[in-house]
Amino acid sequence: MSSRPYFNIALTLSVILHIVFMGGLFLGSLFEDKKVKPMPQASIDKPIVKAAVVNSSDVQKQVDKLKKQKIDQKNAEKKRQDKLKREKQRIKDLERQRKKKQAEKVAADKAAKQSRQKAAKEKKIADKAIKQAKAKQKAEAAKAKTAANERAKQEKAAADAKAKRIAADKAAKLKAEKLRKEKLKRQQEAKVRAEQEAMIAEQMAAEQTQVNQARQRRILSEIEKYTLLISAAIQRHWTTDESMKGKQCVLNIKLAPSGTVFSVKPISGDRFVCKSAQDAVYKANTLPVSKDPQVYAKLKEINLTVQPEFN
Amino acid sequence: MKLLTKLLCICGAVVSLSSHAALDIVITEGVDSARKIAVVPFKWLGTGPRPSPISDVVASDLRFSGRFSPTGKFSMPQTPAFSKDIDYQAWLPTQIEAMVIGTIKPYSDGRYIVGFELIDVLRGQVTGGKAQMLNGGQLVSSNDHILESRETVISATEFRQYGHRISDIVYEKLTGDRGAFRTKIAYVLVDRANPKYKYRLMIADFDGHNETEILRSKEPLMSPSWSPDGTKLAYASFENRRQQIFIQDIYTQKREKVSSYRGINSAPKWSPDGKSLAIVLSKDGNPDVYTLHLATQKLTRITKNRAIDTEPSWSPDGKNLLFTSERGGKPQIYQVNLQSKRISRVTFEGEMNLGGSYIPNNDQIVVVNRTRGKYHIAKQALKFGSLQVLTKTRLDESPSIAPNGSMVIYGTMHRGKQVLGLVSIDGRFKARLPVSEGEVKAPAWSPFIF
Amino acid sequence: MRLNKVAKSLVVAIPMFALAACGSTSTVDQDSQQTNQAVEQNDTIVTAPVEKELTPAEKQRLVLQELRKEHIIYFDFDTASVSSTFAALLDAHAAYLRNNTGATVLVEGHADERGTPEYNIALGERRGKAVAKYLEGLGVNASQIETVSYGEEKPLDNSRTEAGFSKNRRAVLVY
Repeated sequence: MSSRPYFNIALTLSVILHIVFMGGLFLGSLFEDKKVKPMPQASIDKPIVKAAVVNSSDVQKQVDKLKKQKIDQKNAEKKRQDKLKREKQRIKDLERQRKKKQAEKVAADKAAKQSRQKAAKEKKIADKAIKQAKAKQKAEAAKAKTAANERAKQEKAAADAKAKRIAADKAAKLKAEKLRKEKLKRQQEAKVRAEQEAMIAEQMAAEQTQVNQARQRRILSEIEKYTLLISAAIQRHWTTDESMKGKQCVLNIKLAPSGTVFSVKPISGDRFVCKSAQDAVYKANTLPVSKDPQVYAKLKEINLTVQPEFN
Repeated sequence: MKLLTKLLCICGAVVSLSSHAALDIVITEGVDSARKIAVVPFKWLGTGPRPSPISDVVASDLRFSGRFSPTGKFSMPQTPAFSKDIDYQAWLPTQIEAMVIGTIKPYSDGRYIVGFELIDVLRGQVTGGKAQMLNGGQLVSSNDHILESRETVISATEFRQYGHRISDIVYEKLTGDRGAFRTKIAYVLVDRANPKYKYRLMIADFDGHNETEILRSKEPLMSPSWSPDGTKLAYASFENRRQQIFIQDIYTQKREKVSSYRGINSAPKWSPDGKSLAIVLSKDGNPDVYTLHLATQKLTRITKNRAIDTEPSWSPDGKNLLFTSERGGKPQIYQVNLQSKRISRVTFEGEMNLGGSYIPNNDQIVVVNRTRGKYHIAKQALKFGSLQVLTKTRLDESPSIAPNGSMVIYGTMHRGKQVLGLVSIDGRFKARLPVSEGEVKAPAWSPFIF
Repeated sequence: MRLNKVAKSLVVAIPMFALAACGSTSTVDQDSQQTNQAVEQNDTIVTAPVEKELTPAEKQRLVLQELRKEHIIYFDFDTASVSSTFAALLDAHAAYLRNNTGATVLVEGHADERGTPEYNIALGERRGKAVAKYLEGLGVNASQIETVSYGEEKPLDNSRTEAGFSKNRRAVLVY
């Protein structure tokens, strides 16, 4: 056989081409393995709470309900946030993958390009070889055809890949668009929720003010009660005399948290009325005070005015 | 974010609730009672029998005033003589606010040294007697619990007098008012069993001790009145079978007849400036009040009324007289301004009011009030006052007030005899004075002598 | 009324005269007995006494004696008005004073121990003056009457009971 050396070249060429095309197909298959997951559906779980007048008799119930709602909402929100996080993560992953794919695409393109260039080069050599071996053209042509088919397949694959890439791009774009829309939606929702929460917070604050006022009234009544107890404790020990008629004294008294008197100072008034009042406080020694720090704070310093009245 | 702001506001509100301002308390009523004190028996630091229970005089005086309630000797947890020996905690159950302690030491020539201290027990209980202060850059004992500390040499006969002096010092220190424990009283002693001199004019310590006779008579003596300098007594006497007013110097015994008009010459009262006597004369038809200027013998008629006007009494400033008048029907107390001669009625309660006199340093008067047939000593504010009865004794009359306004002596009945009663002006303390046997009448409290 | 007064004075005077007469009679009797004894043999003569006339002074003294026994006028509580109970008594005194214009009487006024000594001096004087006025109303000269008030200073009864008080509320006529 005189065409034996050309047979060797052609064989080598076809093997090489096969390998290249196999590689391309393999690469192409990678693209086909990719799956597109469905996008999560963000939705409003509750209807918008209409602003309502807080009925004081239902405050507690409402507060509890609202509290529970709030907790649920918090949980739901948390879940949502988590979901969003996951989504965002996923998006990130997708982006990464997309980029990866893009890179891989670029690489594939590059490889494809390289292989085309190579193919072109080799095609030249093959043409030359064909010119030299017309006899084997058919076989070669057939092989070339096959090769061409293979090339076509490859190109198709590349084209597919490209198309797929374009589709992926599109999909990514769509996705991005969807994401953007979703983000807007969520922002909207967040706004609504924020308003909702603002209303709830207002109600809570109003309720808290009421609770505070009630607390303040309670503290005031506690102060009143201790004022009476302290007055009685001092009065019991205060010796008066008609000579004090028309006179008075103001004493400053300081109490320790235990109620022990640790300071008694006359501020103004008749000397002897002051001494009598001071003696009374010393005799009492300890005055009744509340253990509640808020009430004690109001009791720990007293300006006592004694003004004996006689009938 | 909004929630956080809301939380901050709430916290802010809570903080403002507990902001630092002193609580104002006003007390208008205490326990109207005598102040608890202790007069510890003075310690006799000599040998032999103790010379005198001088602390008894002090405790008694302070009790008479109605303002103090001395602890009984048997209730005392200890009997310290020096302030360093006081166990303040031991005295806590007694609830006393002050204490008088002292010592008696023999001195030369039968004399004695009496030392005493007045202790602020409540202050001592707070400081334990260990309070300190800065003096010349150094911390020294402030001893602010010791209110008085004195030592005096006295003779054996001066114990009661010095006891009264201690009482004056303690009283003044604890009340701010001048003590009246060294004053005297004058009164008439009637001994109907005595065939010769039934009527005697006496002077004694305000508590009835140390009686001295200054005059005796076969005929009645009435209404002694002290001069403001405490040296003379004016009184009415029937020695000449008529009523006449005399003035006698209690030290020189010199006597002088100052009023001897036709009819009544009675109820002499010395003016606060010592220059005049207010008296009652009936020479112009019926009993009326006059003033007699002693130096010039000038007589000024003060009341001119068909009804009985008697018992004049000077206001402390000498500008007004209280007197008893029947012009309204039954005897009541009226006041006349000596300048304007304007007369106003003062008492309205009860069936009648008599024998009024002013309480010094006060806008009150003491009267004899009759209600439902009973005669009691009572006091009343000069203006818009309701009567407050002070005594529970029978047939009270002739009240006379101590110069510091704290006590009243008066004539009263006890077991069928006329005796002298004493009541503190707040009505808390009542007693009978231990004077001689016989009927005791017409007491008059001297002015401040020292 | 007048008749009563005269009758009363007679009731007082006559027994006195009678007594005087009796007295003198007895004395005379005694004397006569003795005389009789001395002139026992002579039965034919019987002497009879002549009643001796009292001198005005003696008469006055006798009246005064009686007046002194009845010389206290009592009063009700807190009053100074003379009760009719004492009209006769005061009449007798007035009569005496009228008939003896040289005589003077001291009217003491007294009060019971209730009230104050000074007020009782005034009350006593009021009582004394009431009696004085009463006597003046009966024709006695004011110059013959002196008054003094002792108030509560000279009580007759010291029991301090209602009965005791009523004994002390008095005016006393002293000669």
